[in-house]
Amino acid sequence: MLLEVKNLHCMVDGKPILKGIDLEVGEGEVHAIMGPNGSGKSTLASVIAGNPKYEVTEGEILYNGKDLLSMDIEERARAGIFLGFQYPVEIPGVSMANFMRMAVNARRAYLGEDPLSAAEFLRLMREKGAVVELDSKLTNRAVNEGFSGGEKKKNEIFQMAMLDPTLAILDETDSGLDIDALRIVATGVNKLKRPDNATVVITHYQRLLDYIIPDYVHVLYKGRIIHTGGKELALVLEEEGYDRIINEYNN
Amino acid sequence: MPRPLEEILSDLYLSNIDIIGEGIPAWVNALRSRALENFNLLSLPSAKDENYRHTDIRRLLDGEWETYFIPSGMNREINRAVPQSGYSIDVVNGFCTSNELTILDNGIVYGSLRTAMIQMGDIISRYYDKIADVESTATSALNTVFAQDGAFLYLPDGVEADKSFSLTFAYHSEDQAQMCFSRALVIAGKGAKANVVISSVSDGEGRFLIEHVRETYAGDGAEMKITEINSCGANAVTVAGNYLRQESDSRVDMVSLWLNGAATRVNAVTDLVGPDCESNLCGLYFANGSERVDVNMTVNHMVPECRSSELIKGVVSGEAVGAFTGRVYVAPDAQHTEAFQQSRNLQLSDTAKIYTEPQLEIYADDVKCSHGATVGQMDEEAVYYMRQRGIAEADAKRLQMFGFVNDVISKCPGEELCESLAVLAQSRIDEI
Repeated sequence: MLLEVKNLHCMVDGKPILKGIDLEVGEGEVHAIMGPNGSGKSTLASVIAGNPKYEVTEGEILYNGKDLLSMDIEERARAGIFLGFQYPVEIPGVSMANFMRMAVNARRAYLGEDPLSAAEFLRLMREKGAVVELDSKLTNRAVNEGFSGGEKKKNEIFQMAMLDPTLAILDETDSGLDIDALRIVATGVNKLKRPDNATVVITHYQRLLDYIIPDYVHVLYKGRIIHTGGKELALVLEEEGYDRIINEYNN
Repeated sequence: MPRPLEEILSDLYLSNIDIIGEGIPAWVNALRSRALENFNLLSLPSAKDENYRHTDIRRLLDGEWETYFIPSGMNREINRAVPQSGYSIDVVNGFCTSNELTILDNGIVYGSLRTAMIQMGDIISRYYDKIADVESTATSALNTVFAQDGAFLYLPDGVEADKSFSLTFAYHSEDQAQMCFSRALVIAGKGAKANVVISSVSDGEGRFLIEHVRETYAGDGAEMKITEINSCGANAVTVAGNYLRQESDSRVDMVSLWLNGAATRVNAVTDLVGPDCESNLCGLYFANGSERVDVNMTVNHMVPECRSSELIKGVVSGEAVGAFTGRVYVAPDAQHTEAFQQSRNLQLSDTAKIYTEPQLEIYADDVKCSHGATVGQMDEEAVYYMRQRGIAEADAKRLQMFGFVNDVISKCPGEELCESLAVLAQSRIDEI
């Protein structure tokens, strides 16, 4: 099993947010996590990535059988965990190329591979930029600085393509995207799908799942996964909202 | 009772008057006498002086400084800040390493300021000591009293230099505490174009007090790119007056880096005296440990239709102090002035201090002027973002800090220069 989340509890600023999450993600799988606002979807993504703001109070996470919670943020990333940020951060003065080269070479070093030469790296940038139709001018600019909302999200998928992660978690990558950008982002994700990697898509809307077909759909509510179904669950949720499932759970 | 500092310095001049003025034209020596009078009338600013709150000039100048009025430290390898390129002038402890002036086919003249005073008095006398504020700035008047040599660059009207100019001010002292007066005069005639790189460096174990004045003149329509690199090390105290005068339609892009130094006080004054001038002034300073940097910039919009922009960044850590005062003066009839000023600072430790103060004095009513100042710490979100991409925490912090400073460095002309400066900045970041 690639990822095993067991009875995960976590707090932020002393307030419990996750209250016993259990989740298993296997190789080759696509999982969608849906749920109302404030249910803990982004928190789950942040805890897996290792955001220091969140304090795990109970439970464990195994990644390839190893204790993930004892690993540093960068160690997790190098081991193949990628988080597509809901709000990608602007880093003025740091060029995309410089940033990505450090990131790619850190991952390669972890995998026991030699760092890429400048020429190889540029080739990779061009090749992966094409996956998400990212304007090559953007890769010459500072990280996310002055990027539109859509460009920032495309840039997340571009980085994912560059880093070739084993487990990609996309936190509301679809929010704020118009239909064309959504299609491009989703196509990018699908192109990167392989039998030995996995994707967890966190989303509010069914519409992303028209393009990225999940194997499992989980409903997160008040810090717990209260329901799990197949891809058809997303359609049901779109139609009925969360109320019926929440009511069933409450009863 | 201890003797006043002004008296000590005046006596230093008077008892060495013959050697200081030896071989130098009478008109220059006459300027010395006048400057000495001014210096005594003005007296050095005290720590209570509003403009010198962050630098106690008297304390910096007071001390057992050795002063030599003859060349010293010559014929040594200069420990350069950036690779030499183009035409070079080297000045060691205030004296040019060559007495010769070089005259290029297109009429450009460069070399020793002293030799230029002797050979080109008719041109020099129109600019020397005319651009610097020797009337109200005591430290600049003091420089005129003592300066014997320095770097000189003259571009005649309409000449575009084919290569850049490197002016290097090196300071060398084996083990003494030495006071050096150095001077630069750069003149770009009407429509002249030049790229000038000015660096200050030091070597040896001794301490330094560097008293420097630079006068730069941009004639009508002249275009100048000036890059200034101050890297004199932890043993150096610098008191500098950098003066720039721009005539109509001229454009100056200046980038000033203050990389290190025990204490640095800079008065940078730009006078826009002809309409349609453009002046882009960028600066970056680092202060670590117990270092102090105090940058006092003034832009005087004397006439209508000129544009100025200032971007000054500071990085302080340890117990260091960084101060920026940005004065913008807009004269009563200087309509349609555009003047923008930004001060951006990174404070890396709780014990480091940043002072930033805009001073806008606007007497015209149809102008666009703005200023902004920020003091911040590292952006933790950005560090998290980079770590999530596999970049180690320390590298992420360095990268972010480099990003902050690169904004200024990338404005320097030429890829090679930018790269060398990036390396200097990076090694400074690594120390912090």
